[in-house]
Amino acid sequence: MQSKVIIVITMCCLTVFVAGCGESNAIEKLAVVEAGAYDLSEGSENPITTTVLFPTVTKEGKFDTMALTAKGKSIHDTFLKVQNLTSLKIVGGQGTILFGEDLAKKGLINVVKSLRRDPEIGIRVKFAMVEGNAGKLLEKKFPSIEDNAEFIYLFLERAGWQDKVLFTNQYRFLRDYYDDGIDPVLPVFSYEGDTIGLKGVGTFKGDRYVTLLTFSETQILNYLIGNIKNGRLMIAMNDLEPGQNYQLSLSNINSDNDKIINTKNMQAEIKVKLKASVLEYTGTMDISKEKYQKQLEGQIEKYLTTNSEKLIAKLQQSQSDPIGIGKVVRNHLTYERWKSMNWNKTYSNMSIKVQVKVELTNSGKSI
Amino acid sequence: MTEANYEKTLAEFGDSFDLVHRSFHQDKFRIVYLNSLVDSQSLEWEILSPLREMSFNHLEQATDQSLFKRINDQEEVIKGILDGNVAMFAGAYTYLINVPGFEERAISQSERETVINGPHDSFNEVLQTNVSLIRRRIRSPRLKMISLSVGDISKTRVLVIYIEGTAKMSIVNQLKERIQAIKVDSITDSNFLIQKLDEHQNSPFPQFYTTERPDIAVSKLYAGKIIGLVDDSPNIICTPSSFFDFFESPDDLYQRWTIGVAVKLLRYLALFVTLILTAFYVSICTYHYEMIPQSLLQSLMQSRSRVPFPPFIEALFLEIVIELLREAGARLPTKIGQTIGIVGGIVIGQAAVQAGITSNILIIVVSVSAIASFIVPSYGMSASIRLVRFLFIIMAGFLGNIGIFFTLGIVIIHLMGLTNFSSPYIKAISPAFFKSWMDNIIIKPFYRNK
Repeated sequence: MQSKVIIVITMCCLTVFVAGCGESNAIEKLAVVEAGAYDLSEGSENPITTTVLFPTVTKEGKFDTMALTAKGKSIHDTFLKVQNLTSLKIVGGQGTILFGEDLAKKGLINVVKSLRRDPEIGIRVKFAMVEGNAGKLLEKKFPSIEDNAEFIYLFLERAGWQDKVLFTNQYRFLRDYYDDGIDPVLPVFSYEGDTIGLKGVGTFKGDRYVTLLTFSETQILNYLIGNIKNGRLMIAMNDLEPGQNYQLSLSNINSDNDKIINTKNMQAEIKVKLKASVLEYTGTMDISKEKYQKQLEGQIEKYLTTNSEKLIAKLQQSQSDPIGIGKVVRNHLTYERWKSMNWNKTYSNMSIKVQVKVELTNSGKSI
Repeated sequence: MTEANYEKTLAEFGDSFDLVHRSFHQDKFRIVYLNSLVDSQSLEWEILSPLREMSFNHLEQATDQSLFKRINDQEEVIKGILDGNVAMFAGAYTYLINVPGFEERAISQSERETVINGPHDSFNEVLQTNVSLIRRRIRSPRLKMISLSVGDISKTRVLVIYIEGTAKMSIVNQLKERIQAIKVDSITDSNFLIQKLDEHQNSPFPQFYTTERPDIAVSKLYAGKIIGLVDDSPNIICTPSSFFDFFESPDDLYQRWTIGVAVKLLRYLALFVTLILTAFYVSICTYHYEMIPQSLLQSLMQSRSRVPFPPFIEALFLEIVIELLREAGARLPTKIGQTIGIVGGIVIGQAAVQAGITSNILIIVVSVSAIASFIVPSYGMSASIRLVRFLFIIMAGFLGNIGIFFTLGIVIIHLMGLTNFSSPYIKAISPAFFKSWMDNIIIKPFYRNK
């Protein structure tokens, strides 16, 4: 009986004393960082600028956000300096990480590596780029947006569901970076005007940002990378043929993507099969008739093929391969041959063809 | 054994206010009784008028009925009188005539255990009435009763009831022996008796199922269990009972079984909500900010921002206030009880938040767990869960989620160690009988009942 009492007392004491070892994180004393932005700053002494955005509560009890900026030698150096700017304890939990254009042009991998080592930053943290200065985007107050970080997070989450190519997080960035024969992409935001908007997709060569793809190019890239379920496509026909001037919106797209490589003369062909329904069509043809439907399918195929090839030429020129053609080539070659090959050079001179097959499963109502 | 005799009996009672003694036929017949325990109408009908009309001339024949009992022992006579008998001294013989009658509460609806469907009667404080409620439902001679008495002064009658052939005789005998072994001066209620019978008297958990509904009592008897009735108590006890019995309500069986199962699962959910919700609030607000979704973080920060206390103190404060409110509400007369509702609802609810003493999310959390604690149908179990909850809150305040799971482990280990008449307290889970999970823990479909 006595020994039991002693055990109970020891346990109670342990509970109280052990509790002292844990760090208490009462939420009202925390600044839980919602988004971090990393930029290149002028001057070589402190090359990195970090801006963090975290929610706060004003004196009136209203919800607000606060952005703090500090310059430093490295990511964690800036964290320490940001910490000195506030009485709250800054803790991780970033949902979104933004990179400035200049930093991305210089190369991101050092920044990403030190973020990767930080256990407070998860592998699913969303990555994006900002045209211009990323910190400014977090600092700027937009009349229609209450919380910039939350806005971007939700925007990326929604966009990632709609277009697979926009689904970018730390895991995907590092995977595409380390994998041979594919390059990462990041969505690019701009903050001109009264709101934050998506500008397109920035493609990388290794860890360096090289080109910006426009919104319509992004849509096409989406279908070149892989199979898409329940996608969308917006086509403005006027830029292809001068006589044609109509808008076409396809929805409910299920696509099938196949990449065929001829390793002898280094030729690649991307075969895309699209099954789609017409959501909007502003042209004059009566597409409920099979004849005109076939004609429309042909027009879409032609549009997609030419635009894809244009896009690929653009990518080849900048030696960026977000489609992952290199990966397919690598899988067809022996390790020695792949290693001995100068892939960047081969890629930019390679002949890559695109073949598109479109099938309109339903043309909707036509009046 | 001392010979029963009129003078000694009178001397024993002294000058009790309700003692009546009369003699008839030149002291040939003398009767002694307590008029507070005797039904005056049957007394007149069965004894006084026959005595006046001198129909007891053939004494042997006249007393050869179950109403009359021939007694010689003085102690037995005293006990008989105290049980509501009339003692009749006729020459050398002494008879006890059973004509009890006293004021009792009418059979009314149970206030503690209410049902929507199903019978509405409940036990009252009189053993006779309670037995009749059970007898009326089981029309079988296999229903057996053992009469015992507990308490040196109170001599409270305790009945052990079981169905022969269904109940395990070893448990019946064990219960009988244990009740006989109880050495106390008095017991006033069956809840007192069960604490004397408990195998683990320091555990916060009730180990005997008690009920005041005859329909539950009877269903327990049919299930092979043994029930105990205590005179002067509306609560019957039931053994062997398990942890899951306390989460049963007869309404589960009176509804479609699918609905019954859903409600039962809701109760187990309520058990966890009561135990853990407030503790979880304390632990995530103190240690685990990562677990809070971004959108919830905003409102949580907003409500916490004006509170000067750490979450642990804040939660403990509000939980104690809720317990105060509950206890005050349980003891106060209903007319004053309304004040509690106003004071508790308005002052604690709104003013505490406006004054910045507690956060409004905590008020929601604490009220939800208080509501959940009242979902447990057994009052005794609900009270012990509420007590154990404080252990969870304290451990969450010290150690966060680790503390919660540590406490959960301790509580589960404790439950596993409990027994009720050698039957494991959480039978079917430990030791595991997966086949009877549906039966013991939830409810099995009605068509599968034999």
